[in-house]
Amino acid sequence: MEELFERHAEKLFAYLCQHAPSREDAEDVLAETFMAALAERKFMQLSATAQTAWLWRVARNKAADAFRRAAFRRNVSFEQVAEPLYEDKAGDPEQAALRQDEAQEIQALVRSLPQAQQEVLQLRFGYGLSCGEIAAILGKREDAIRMMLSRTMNVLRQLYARRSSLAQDSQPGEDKRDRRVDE
Amino acid sequence: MTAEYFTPERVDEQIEQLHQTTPQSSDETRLVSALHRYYSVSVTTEDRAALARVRQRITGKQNAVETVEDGNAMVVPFSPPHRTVRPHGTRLVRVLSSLAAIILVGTLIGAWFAVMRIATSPSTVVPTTEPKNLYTVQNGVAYRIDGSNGKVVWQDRLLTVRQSGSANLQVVNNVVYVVLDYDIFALNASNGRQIWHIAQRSGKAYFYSVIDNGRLYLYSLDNTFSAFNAPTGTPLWHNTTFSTQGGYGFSVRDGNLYTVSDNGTTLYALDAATGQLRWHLYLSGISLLQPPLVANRVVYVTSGNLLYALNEQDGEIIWKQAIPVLGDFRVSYLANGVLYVSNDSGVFQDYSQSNNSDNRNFYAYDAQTGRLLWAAQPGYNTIFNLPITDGLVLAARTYNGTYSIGGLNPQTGKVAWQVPFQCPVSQFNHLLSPTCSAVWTAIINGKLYLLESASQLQGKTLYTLKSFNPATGQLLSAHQLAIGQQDTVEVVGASNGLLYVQIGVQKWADGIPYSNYRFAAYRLSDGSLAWSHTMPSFPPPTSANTNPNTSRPVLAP
Repeated sequence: MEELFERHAEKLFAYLCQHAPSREDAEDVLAETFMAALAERKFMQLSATAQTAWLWRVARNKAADAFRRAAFRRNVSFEQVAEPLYEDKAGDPEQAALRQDEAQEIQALVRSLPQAQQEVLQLRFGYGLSCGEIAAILGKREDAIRMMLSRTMNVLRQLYARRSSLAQDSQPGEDKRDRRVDE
Repeated sequence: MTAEYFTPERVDEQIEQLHQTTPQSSDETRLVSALHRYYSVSVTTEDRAALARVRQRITGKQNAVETVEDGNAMVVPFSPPHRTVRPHGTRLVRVLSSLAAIILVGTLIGAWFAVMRIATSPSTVVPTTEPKNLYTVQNGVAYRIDGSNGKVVWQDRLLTVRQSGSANLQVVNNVVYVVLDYDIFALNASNGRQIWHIAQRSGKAYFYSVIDNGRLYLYSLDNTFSAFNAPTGTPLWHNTTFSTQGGYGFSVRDGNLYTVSDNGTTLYALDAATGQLRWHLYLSGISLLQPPLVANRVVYVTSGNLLYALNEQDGEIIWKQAIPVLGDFRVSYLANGVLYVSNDSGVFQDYSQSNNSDNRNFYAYDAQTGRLLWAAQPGYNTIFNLPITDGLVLAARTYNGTYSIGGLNPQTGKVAWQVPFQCPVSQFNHLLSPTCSAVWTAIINGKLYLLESASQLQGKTLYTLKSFNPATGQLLSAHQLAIGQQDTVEVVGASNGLLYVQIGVQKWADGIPYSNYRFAAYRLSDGSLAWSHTMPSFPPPTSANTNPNTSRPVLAP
């Protein structure tokens, strides 16, 4: 169990901090998840992949549950707790501003995606999980996750390229209307 | 540019390769890099402290499970539970974060008090006509606010011996009791004058308190319980031989103090007069998440989906029933010999199933025999503290993405009326959830009043005060309240024909959220604002202690 905790607790906690109503809830859900694993006699007989999937699924489920309780209790909307926060703590204000712009841009792109695709992206990029692990966690087939992730990435790539292009076209000092006239 | 840069077969490897690539010369590398940064999570010192605490909690659980499995018995001999020593450095964080925990525990205990009231007066809710006022502690200052006009009647700065992160306020018999981390104050509710003050210059912080029958009971972060004479502040007992980490949310009823073991699987009853252990019972290995309901010398408690009736005197099992479906159930209330049991988690239980079905359930049992009387339609659960009104059990239903309220026949569980709310549906994983629900309900002057919260996009929420005929479900009125759509709302209660809410305006300072509060009173008749009172602003936080020394507001005479 120590080894499992070492391997998964940090990522799970980070995930729960974003998906549970509060840090205290995230802490409780993390503890409950591992306690549930301890209480489940069959857990230790599972393969490593199955154990990973089990822990994540239980944690996700309990986070949703905690959210419902909190929503009842304090009326927090899902959007408020599920929205990933981008906080740049770098000391360079200019760099921080650039990254903030980038974050806003990527946020706009990500938010345009269906919820299921957003979740796959978060599990892949936020927690470094492979398609196989994500599939086990979400209870889907690996090839379905691979298909979804590749499609999502291709869509994002197109949108990202288009936005980058538009941003370059509207650089200060350039007048697109005049340029079109010249062309 | 081709649209199929990423392929299903290689998408994992492609992402890894692009992540390693420098400089970021292509759109693909920039996209992957941006996604990594966007979703990146950093582990802070506070996170590490939290992980250390969780590790300790799990260690305690591991010991407990091994003990139980070795013993293989339902009733285990009493021995003081393993006590986990919290690292000194994390204790402060624990204390500072206790405010949120207290809000949660307070909610549970508030519901518990409601249950107690219902258990003894099963058929109706009789709202008091005595004018009530608002009491609160914010930033170390206790306030009484006139419920009729929102003016501050008195305020009293609480001079503490040590800095406190949390506050727990109760008003009993015209005395305001404020329990801070290391100080307890008793104030005259009429004028705010101090009656007594207990200061703890050493030792662990107080965590939770209950006042019952003239005694103030305390659970401290050294995992022990103690009691004081509430009117005088005189110490009565401190049991240092019994400890549990599960003591938060303890309850006191009919001379027993009920608490649970570290892992929540054993129910303990302490003698409230002496603090000595009277009996304990290992239940099912599933944590007791809800306080027991005690009525007519019988303790009703759920552990997972097992429902027990215990003898209040010795903890002997009178009867035991397995609730038909799995889930974390609670005994909602007892009325006319019928025990109403529901789960409101809606959490799927079979981890081998990928489909997260929404499984709220509502059952009625014969309190004397434990016989199942009826099961309501799927999705129903009890609605806050509403007992039988106009011959019907009022209940809420969340099912297939729709939120409804309804009146059920208490003898059969059949639906007499049901009113669905109109709001969008959100999807989390496979679970469809309505974006609206009731956040407060009450029966006042024969009407069912309800505050509906409806989540909008981007964290905005609309609040509508509705009233219904509880016999027919007929909508009598609906008024949207003037509350900022991104403000947090906590209903304090209703009195004087007014609904009182605490409205929090969240602010950010150096990436740390904190709230400034105002109280508002809305007329039940038309939803119009009667008064609003803005509390002094909190200073921007410099640590995680965002709203220090702040209690849940209380409505009391």
